[in-house]
Amino acid sequence: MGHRFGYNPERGHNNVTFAFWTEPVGANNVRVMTTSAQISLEKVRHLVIETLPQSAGNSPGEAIFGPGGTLDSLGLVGYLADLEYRIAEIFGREVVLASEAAMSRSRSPFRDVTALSEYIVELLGA
Amino acid sequence: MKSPRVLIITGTSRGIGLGLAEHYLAQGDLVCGCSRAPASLQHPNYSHYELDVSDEKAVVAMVHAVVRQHGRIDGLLNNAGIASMNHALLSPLATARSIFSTNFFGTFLFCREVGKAMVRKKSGRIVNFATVATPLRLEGESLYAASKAAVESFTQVLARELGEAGITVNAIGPTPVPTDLIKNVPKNKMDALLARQAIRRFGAIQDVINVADFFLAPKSSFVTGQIIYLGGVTG
Repeated sequence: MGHRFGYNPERGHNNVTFAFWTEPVGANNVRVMTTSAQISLEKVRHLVIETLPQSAGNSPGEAIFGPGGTLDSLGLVGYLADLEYRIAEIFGREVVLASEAAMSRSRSPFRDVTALSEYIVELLGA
Repeated sequence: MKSPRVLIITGTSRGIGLGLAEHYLAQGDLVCGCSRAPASLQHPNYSHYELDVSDEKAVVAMVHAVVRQHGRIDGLLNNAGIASMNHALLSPLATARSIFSTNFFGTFLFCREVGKAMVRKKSGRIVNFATVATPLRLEGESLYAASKAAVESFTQVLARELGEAGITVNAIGPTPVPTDLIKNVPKNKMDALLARQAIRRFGAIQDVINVADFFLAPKSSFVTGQIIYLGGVTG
């Protein structure tokens, strides 16, 4: 599944005023809705693990950031940036993972694979 | 033959932003610009996004679209800005919010989102826009100067946060350039301002381009966290 964003491809990329809507598209440019069923915890967990740098943990519950975590601050920044782009590619949704909701929690959603996966599912409204 | 750079320039509908876009397009770069107004530039290597730079969703969407289209972002020129000249005690809160929304929050949002794309590539150049109004402590420009002081401070801290990722973050502090931004400033105020510069003339868009070229240059990889004021103004 690809992801089309705010422009009419028939008019080309240039000198077009872009409108801000997003629309996942499948083969032959047929619109494909990303449903709650498609955004499953299992699928998100797989993405969270797959996107982790080689040096970091790779199993559910493995610490990512904070006590026992394998990423430092800059590592977390790079990882979350990668994850945001992967979420956009796979689910057709542009999200900001370091949202107010995430930062105000008493327990960081970035602490381990399970917490992060559950947080992303919640963010995507699944 | 070197591949063209992919640049995002904010505030490209007029003034310095338009001049920067035209300059880099002439250099062969791919320019993605934005403004609240429709595009005022037609070029095969130019894409325009109509948005408010303080609109988080729109900024996120634009940056994702640019990365999707070009695969990377080499440089960001955070030019979009607004000014309002008034005595601090006569300034409405709405004006303060508006100035900070565009000048600081807009700069912050583009730095954050473009910074993410640059961190993934471990390279990039961010150029923010300050003003000589900040070091000169210009009366009547308290809100504008304060919003740009925030940009300066943010630039210097961000430079430290992104240094290890191979990204430089600097700022240009232009003197008044004859654009729409200063068209309503009284002449006597402008003359008094120019008198405080070491070189007493209006700036030209070419003066700004010269510093932007320097910050964007590959050889400037060891230059970060710097604010360069034009006209001989010092911080």
